Amino acid sequence: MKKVKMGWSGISQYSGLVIILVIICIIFQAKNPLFLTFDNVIAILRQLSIYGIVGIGMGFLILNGYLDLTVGSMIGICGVTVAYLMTAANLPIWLSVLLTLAAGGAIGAFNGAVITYTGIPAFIFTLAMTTVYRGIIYLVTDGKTISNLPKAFLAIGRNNIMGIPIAIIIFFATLIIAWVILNRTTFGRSVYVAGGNPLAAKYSGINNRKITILCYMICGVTAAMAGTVLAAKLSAVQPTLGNSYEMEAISVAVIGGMSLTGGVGSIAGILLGALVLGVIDNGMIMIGLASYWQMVVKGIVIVIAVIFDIYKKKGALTIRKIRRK
Amino acid sequence: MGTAAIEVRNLDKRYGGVHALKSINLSFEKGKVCALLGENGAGKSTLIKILSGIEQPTGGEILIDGKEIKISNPLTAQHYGISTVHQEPMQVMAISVAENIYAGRLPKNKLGMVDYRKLRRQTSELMEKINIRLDPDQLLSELSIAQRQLVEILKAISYDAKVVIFDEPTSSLTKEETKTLYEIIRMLHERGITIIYVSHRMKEIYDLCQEAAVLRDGRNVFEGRIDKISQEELIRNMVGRNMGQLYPKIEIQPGKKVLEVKNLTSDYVKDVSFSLREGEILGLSGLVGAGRTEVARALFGIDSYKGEMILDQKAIHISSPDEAISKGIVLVPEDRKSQGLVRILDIRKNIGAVDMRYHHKWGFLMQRDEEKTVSDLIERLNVKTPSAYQIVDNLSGGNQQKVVFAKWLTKTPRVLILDEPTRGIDVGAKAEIYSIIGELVRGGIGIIMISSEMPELIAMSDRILVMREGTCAGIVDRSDFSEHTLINLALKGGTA
Repeated sequence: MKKVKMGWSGISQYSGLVIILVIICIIFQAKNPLFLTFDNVIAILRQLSIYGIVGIGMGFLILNGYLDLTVGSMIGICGVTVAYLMTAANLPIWLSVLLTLAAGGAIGAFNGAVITYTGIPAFIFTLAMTTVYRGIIYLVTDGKTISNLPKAFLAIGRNNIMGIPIAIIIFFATLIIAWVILNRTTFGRSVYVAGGNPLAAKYSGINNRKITILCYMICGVTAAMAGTVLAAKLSAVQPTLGNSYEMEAISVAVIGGMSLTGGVGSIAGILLGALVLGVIDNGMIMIGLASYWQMVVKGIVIVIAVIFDIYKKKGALTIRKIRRK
Repeated sequence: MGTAAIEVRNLDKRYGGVHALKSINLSFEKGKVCALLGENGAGKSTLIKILSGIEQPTGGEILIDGKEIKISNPLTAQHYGISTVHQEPMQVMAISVAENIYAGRLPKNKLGMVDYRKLRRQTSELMEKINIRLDPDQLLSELSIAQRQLVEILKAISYDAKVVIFDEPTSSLTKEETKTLYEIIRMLHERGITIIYVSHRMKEIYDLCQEAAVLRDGRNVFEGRIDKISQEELIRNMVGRNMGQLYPKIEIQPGKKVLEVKNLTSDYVKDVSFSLREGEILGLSGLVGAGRTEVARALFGIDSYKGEMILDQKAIHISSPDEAISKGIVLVPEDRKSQGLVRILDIRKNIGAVDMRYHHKWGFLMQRDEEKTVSDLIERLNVKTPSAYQIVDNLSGGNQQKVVFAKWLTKTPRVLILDEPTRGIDVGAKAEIYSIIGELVRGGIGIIMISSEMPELIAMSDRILVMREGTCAGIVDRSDFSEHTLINLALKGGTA
């Protein structure tokens, strides 16, 4: 009898992305020698950690075959929530943050419940809810900026632990937790199975609805985390807080090789996707490219990453055909 | 020997390092119905793809009517009069029958717009030619798979095909539909069209074909008249070894009652009652649409039902697959691609989709146990794969089906429901699936097996329940098995 091989696979699938990342870094480094210094690398990581965090939550949803365009507005709502709880309600910081995370989870669960119970397409529902949530922010704040946040709270966005900004630590901690959930729990397994083929998941005894609502909750919690960190970093909460972060979050996941049809992707991809986006953001400033150009370049990079992915899959397809012969 | 309609000489095809066709020499005689046989992976589909212009050969030549030609794309194939009816037709679902047949060459009026009256007339004339009755205006999405295949055939004829290739046309057809297809093939044959017929079903081949060609591991190992070769010998040629008995029925004295179903009624079935004993295989027969699959769906908790279910002397009610599985009632579904497997995931995650129910601690997967279960099952079911991390889509049909079986064997079930367990897999894999089934009943579980293949059902079952229009038309004991009895029951419901 043949011994069945057990081992790691799939690491190599990110080789393309790593090469792209290295090439971009070399170009930036050549143009500006200050690019790859410790300080700048930390700056890059700090910048990307916020959309990286939302990207993780979005990753759960995309793996499950869904999407949430409300995360930008959710970041806003949660930023406002945490600010009000600390200032107007005068609650302790830790409690405010905890309640805010719970609020994010609750909004997420609501999104997920409406989508799974009514069958409304996730794209349309969350697109519509984006303006609803943003509208609520304006209604609550009357369009005004909330400032005078407690000093101790601002530390989350500004202080370092052993030279590393807290935001970065939060991002990496979230990455690790997400990896464990996706790869080492029955829930994570269900996310992949249900995302890859909901019908087969149903026939395997998996409760698709429960899994999807949980994914929306996770996405909501990460949006709340990002909202909190962002509020602390900016030391004030404007009604526009988190605007267009849904695009950043989706970009992170898609550049990282996740398939919008579900079932394909990993946390390593999220990290790489966030790195690519962060490096481009920062590098373009470092080499003095005008910010309008940055938008153009970022969009193009997303397109290239996805096309690259499609070609890779086509390659895999021909290999598949060969193996069948 | 007559003249060859299509001849291939030293035809060679490599995909990278894989040698799919090794210098094949074959000729398909003009006006004959030729069977093309071989296990999955033998090279049949490669040959068909080359003949229909989808793939290019890496060596050798193709001759039509003695002249060497090059088939560089599907259009050239049509130009040379070669049409293919694919197993899963590639059609546009949102447009009509007529539009599908004449896609790309719709008749136009003076204004350059589609002349629908002419289109309709053309289509009706075409249908009359071979006695097919379909509504030219009906949308493809409203047709059954069998009807969609008819549309493919019509399209083939509309191109004035000289050679029509059928790639496993009956794998999803009912008995009646298969009959219609036979008639059409005979009609095409009478019109002098050469037919290349790919199938795994021996009976069909002997019914329909005059010639046979067998491929094995990319070589042609047999070519000749079908009445000169016995079924056993043909199979031996295909698998390259002696198959022994195809259906290894194991005689077991059925034990105590595992499952009793009384008056099962759902939206699709009515008052179905039966019992199942340990070590027993209860066959479920009937026409497609008679409610066989629907009985399985109710038992597995997919459709809600009324009626009694008694499992191991305990009354139960099942409202979800989750509940069915935890009670030990599991289902190998009809369509492994859409219901049985997550094709983009690897074997381990597919088996793990069920195994995780048993191997976890507070929601955390027990990696070692899962690994061991998966690799044991791969070995036990003889899944041919380089590793447990192979993406399921890369496996052959038979191996995919074994993975579906493996999912349900991570913990031995009490009742295993098999819905068309051997559909679309080759003879070798079929025999292996049968021996797995045999091993399982010996272990004392009860099996309910739904199948459209009469010989399989008759050979494997202890009793057969025949469904007709959503009700149980009768239960037949093994001593009374015959195709005649079963078909009679399925059609008329009277006792034969």
